[in-house]
Amino acid sequence: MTEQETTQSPDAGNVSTAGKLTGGKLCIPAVGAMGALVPAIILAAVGNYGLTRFMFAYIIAFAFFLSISLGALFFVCIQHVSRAAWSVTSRRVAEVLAMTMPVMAIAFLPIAANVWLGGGDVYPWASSHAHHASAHGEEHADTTHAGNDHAAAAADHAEPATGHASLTARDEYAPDEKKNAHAADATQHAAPAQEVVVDESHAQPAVTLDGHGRIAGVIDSHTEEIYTAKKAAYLNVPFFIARWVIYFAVWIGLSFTFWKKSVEQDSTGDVQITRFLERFSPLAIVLFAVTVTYATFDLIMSLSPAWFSTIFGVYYFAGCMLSIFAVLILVLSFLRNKGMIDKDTVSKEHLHDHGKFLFGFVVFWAYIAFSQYMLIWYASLPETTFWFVARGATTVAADFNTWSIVSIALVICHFFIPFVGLMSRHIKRTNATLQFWAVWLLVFHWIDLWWLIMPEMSVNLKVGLVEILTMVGLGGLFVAGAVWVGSLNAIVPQKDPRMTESLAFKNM
Amino acid sequence: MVLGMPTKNPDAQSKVVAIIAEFDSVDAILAASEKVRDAGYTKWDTHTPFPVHGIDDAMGIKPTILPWLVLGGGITGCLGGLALAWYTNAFEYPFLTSGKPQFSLPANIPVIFETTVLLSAFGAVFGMLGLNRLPWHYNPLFKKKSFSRVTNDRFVVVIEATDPIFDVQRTTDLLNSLTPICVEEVED
Repeated sequence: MTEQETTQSPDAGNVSTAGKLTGGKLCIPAVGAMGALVPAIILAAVGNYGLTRFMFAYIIAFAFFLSISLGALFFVCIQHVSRAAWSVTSRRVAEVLAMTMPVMAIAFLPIAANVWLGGGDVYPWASSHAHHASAHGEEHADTTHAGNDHAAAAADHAEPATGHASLTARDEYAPDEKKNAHAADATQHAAPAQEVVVDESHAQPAVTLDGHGRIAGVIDSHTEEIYTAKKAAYLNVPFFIARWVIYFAVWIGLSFTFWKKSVEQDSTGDVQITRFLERFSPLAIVLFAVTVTYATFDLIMSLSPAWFSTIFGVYYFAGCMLSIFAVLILVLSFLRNKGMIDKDTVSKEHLHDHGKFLFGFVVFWAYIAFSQYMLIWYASLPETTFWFVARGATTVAADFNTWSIVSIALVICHFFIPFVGLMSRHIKRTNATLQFWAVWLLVFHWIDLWWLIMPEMSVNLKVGLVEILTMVGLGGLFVAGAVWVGSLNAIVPQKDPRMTESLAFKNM
Repeated sequence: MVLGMPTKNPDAQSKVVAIIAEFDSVDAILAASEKVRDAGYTKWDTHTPFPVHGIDDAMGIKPTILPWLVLGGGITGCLGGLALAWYTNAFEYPFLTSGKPQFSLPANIPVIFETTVLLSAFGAVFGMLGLNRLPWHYNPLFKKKSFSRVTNDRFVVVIEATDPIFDVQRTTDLLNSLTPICVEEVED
């Protein structure tokens, strides 16, 4: 920051930036919308999958709104670390959206309860059987030669796998209700310790070979158990709960610091606050990166505990950033239309920049999604490909399933169409078209999360009123939280030292 | 021509190629630009020590066609990369690699991506140079004293003689009416 900037701060307050969110009464319908969770639970309970269906719908909705909160937090961090001026007028909205973090912590409780009560219906590693198996898994790891991982063994045994093996795998995989099959299988294997302890021949994944002799790769549930057991030191109930306590402590702490300090500057205009946040934000980004990576592993990846992908946290992060720019565009446009923010305070120029970021993260998402897919596709190891096979995202025609259409739709509608659609400058500078693409991408962000999560419950497409009502219910909680925090203070920072510069911002 | 002793022949006086007017503030250059624009000149330019907000409008500059060149480069790179992957892997030298099909889109996307980015960047860089007619090895403006401070604290308007409505006298009068610090003729 230059000295010149510091002297600008007193003037900034005089510009017509006194935006105020006067939507306190919006809180009531928003809280009312939470009632939608009740019919969602009832509808799920009478359905085929019972409350498990509701929990999956709930995790999708939770991941969706958490991605907005996390995206908002990271957006604020980046503005401070880069000392950005253009974004000052829209920063408060992001600070408020990040402050929905305490609400998200409350929203996490049903997931914690599900894991704690140990059903294992949603997170297989949380079942009492998983605990049992994992204990032996540990023993096994200790008693046999260290470092001999089953992945290597699996690869060796994949070679002689015959048509017979492929049949078994397919039969095990084919039932519509995979979880039920899994549970049935689990009872079979809930046998004495000897059976779990080292029998390498049992460790081989059953492999399907397609017409071209390529490995389609579906692991059987016994192999899945052994893989899961090896992760028991990480994937167990107490550590899971402890990690989420840490995640939310970090996220709430960071969100609160950014919001509180920024609000404080509204009245004091103290330039030291800006300087402090600039020094603080790099630390915040490091904490953010670590917590988001592990939170994604825990929330989404561990639904399929045998599977692993190190880029998975970045994949979710890409969705976070995509959704926050979409939400910022929609919220800022809403506030402008309602006259709560002056149209020159957040101008076409600012919205254009949000649009550029939206476009950028469309590409970023595709880049990360493809990076994940290509490495797994290319290596073609059964212990990683099965996750994509479950989603029908495969080049092997025999492995297509009902999720295939979603996999293809994501490539086309989450990347190609918005990529071409958002490319033009005119589209990003026209309010209606920019908002259209923001809504489009939020819809496909949800479909993306649905595609990540729901196949772990059912190999057939599952979407309906349960998912919609859950989204409405959790959305009500989220909106109520955001509106309440937002109406406490001005919705535009008041005495930020870079305010004048932000107001003068123009795309060259 | 002997060094240090330029031959001066009044009759063969070198031609005026442009007229330059020097200003000392952003406001002055913006006001002057609007006048020159409204007078109907098309072959002219402004030079400033830093990017000036609003100068595009003041000069009446039309949006650049550069994005279309970048798009063209990108599409060429995309299709070219695809063709290259097909030609080398599936047509000219088919070779089985880790059991994958000869022509397989997932394996080719990194190549297509890189060639798309490469040719887009070429479109942007060479398109920009082309549109600006760069590089120039010689520019008579550099001989002018008024031009020497343009990277420091002066703002200049240059109207070229190739402009259809250029006339040494009338153009000089117009520029003089804009209250510049000075107006000079630029000879080749």
